[in-house]
Formats: sequence, structure tokens, C-alpha cells
Amino acid sequence: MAFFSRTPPDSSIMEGICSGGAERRHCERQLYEKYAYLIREGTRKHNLSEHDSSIAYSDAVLTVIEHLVAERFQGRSELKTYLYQIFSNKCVDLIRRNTTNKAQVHRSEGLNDALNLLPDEARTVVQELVLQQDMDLLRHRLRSLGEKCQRILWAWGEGYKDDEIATQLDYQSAAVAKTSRLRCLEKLRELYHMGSKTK
Amino acid sequence: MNERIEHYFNRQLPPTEQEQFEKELLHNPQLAEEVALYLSVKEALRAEILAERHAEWQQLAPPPARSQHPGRVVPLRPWYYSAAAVLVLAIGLVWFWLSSLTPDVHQMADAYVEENLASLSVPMDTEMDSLTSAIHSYNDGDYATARAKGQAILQKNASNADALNLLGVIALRQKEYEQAITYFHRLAAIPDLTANPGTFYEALAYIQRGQPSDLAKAKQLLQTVIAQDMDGAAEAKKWLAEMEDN
Repeated sequence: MAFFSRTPPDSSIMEGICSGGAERRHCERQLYEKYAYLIREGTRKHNLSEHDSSIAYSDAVLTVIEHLVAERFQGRSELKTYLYQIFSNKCVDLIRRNTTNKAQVHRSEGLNDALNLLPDEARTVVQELVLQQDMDLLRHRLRSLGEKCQRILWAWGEGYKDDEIATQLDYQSAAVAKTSRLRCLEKLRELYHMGSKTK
Repeated sequence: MNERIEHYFNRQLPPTEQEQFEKELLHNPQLAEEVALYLSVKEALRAEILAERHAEWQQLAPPPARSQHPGRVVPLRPWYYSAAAVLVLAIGLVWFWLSSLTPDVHQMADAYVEENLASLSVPMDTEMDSLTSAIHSYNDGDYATARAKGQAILQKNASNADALNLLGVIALRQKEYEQAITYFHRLAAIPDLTANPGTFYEALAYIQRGQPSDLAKAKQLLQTVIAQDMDGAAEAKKWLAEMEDN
């Protein structure tokens, strides 16, 4: 009976996510399901629609997964609390985006972190160039890449390291996976610029 | 794709090459464009992955409750009243269980520290070598060295805001709340800083310490943070709402 099914402990969910592969996907689903009741919190506390609240929740779960994989979460707070904190921030971001209608200038946490590594002057230069990128075209070009390139870039986007990518996608070594990945990025860049010119 | 870009963002470049890369970014438009595209690709990938995961996870979520169709009214039989009483009791228990699933303000404060203060950003001011080194020690988890370096900076300049902030955060991480409160209080008192999270962090330390009157003090400080739109105002609003809910 589903009511009596055992909820997996956070420790095994976290371990599974960090272990990668099929186990990671399974544990990601467990994480999503375990705290999905927070979606109601988004509708109750932040007055979001159920649709928006569920998007904020998926975004928060994905962020937690990214932090776990990158070893940014050190377990000093409970996983539930950590997720709740991130989810609340995502809800506030979503409200801000909806009210200011500035979806096009919204940046993810990962992009902000990367930009913050740059010194002020260089950050301004790069930031302006990032804003000029046509994200829809870029996403379109991503989908038009060959399957192999798509899979390797996708795995990289999910936070897999080159050695894990090599194992998962049958490359001879991490170095080969890295070279292939950088080639795919170069190919994407060429495709993107070709598209920008012909647009 | 220029490999240095990836090494830079993975913090794998030696300091001299890192500096060279940052300078080159200002004068080499092609490199700057490559960096922007590299970051945009990551952003686009994340958007794609989120869309895919969201669609997948939606399949796991229970279906939304359907609206009830109006039906004819049937008079209740007596035993229904007992069943209704049991149901009300069950709903009460479930409500109690669900409310215990929502983190309280203490847990939110713990999560804030975990998410935002686990590592500190290094100021770009190159003159502050000892502070940079102290922050690196903190980020490496070597709190004793970070503390010693921070205290040495304070001995030279008792109102060095970065050192007060660092020492307060170290004390907070080590659960030495008295010290954390003192450092953050001193930080909050420094005027004319472009950013000063002192008052907000002081409230955070009170919440984490959790002595009988601490929540009231934290509440007062959070209200000040909101009223004066200080650093941490957005977070303060959420925490105050949580305190008022409970």
C-alpha cells in the first residue's frame, strides 16, 4: 500500500545523487517527490499559481542537485531546510520576474556566480555581451547539433565531470571526452554565428 | 573553444595567468565574446535541462484535485456523524504533521548560513593581501588560521569592516554566538559603507543562539533592516513572516 511505503532518508538520496548514472536519476525523482508538498507553500505564502509554484520547486530541486554534485552543500543544515530556503528564493525571483516583466534579463544563480568571479570592469564587458546573446537561437542551435554532441554537452550541463562523461558515453578517457566536448562547443559557436548572420 | 575560459571559471588557472586573462578580456573583443557565449551556452543548457526535468517530475506529482459535481442532497445517517468526527480528528493530525514539515525560522537561518556563508568572496582590492589570505583560509575550512589573520588585521585597524565580517562569520560557523553578535554589532555601527550586512547578521546570530529573549531581539533587528532597506532586507521579510506565522 502506497501510504505505508517508506520515504527514503535524505542521506541515501544525497548519496545516490552524488553517485551519478541511473542511480542519480532515481534519487533525483525521490528528492522531488519527498518534498513536493512545498509546492503548496508557494501558492499559500507567495500567492503563486500552482503552475508557477511547481516551476519554482523544480528549479529549486535542480539547484540543490547542482549544489550536491558540485559539493557546495556541506550538510550543516538539513536538506529539507536547505531546499526550502532555495525554493523561497526562487518564488521571490519568480514574483519579481512576473511583476517587472524582465524575464529576458533574468539570470540563473550559476551565471551570476560565474560573472561574480570576474573583476568589475571585465564583468561589465562580459555581462553586456551575455545580454546581447539570442538565447532562443542558442537553444535552437543546441537542439540541432548531432546526437553525440548533444549528449556530451547535456551531461556537462548536468554537472558531470569529464571522467564520468567518458564512462557514461563510452569515450576512451577523460581527456578524449574533454577534447570532444570542447569541439562540440566550438561547433555550436560556429552554428550560432551562422544563424545570427542569416537571421 | 578557448580552454583557458573553462580553466578560469573552474578556478584552475595559476594567479598570474588568471590576472593576464582578466586583463586580456578588456582588450580582446574576440575572447570577451567567447566568454559570453561560453556562459550563455551553460545558461541555455540549464534552461533545457530544467524544462526536461520539470516535465519528467510533473508526471510523478499527484493529479490535482478535481472539482466536485453537484449532486442531490441525501440526509445523513446517524453513524455518519461519528465518521465525520473521526475524519475531523484525522484532518487535525494531518495538519499538525504537515505544519511540522515546514521549516521554522531557526532552520531557515541555518540554511541561509549554509547557502550563503559557507564560502566568502574575495574582495578585488589587491592591497588587502592579508584579508584575501584570511578569506582563503576560511574558504578552505581552516578557521583557526583565518581567525588569527583576521584578528591581526583588526589589531592594526579596529574598524576594518571586512575583518569584522570575517571574524563574525567564523564565530557563527563555530557556534560562538556571543562573539558573533559582538563582531556583527561593531560592523553594523560602521557608517558610510556601500554594503553593510552587520545588522542582518546580528539578527541571524540571535536566531541561531536561540536564548529566551533572542527571538524578540532578532525581530527588532530584522524590522530595522527592512525599514532602512539594509543588506538582507529581502531575507528579513521572509523570516519575519515566518516568525509571525508561528
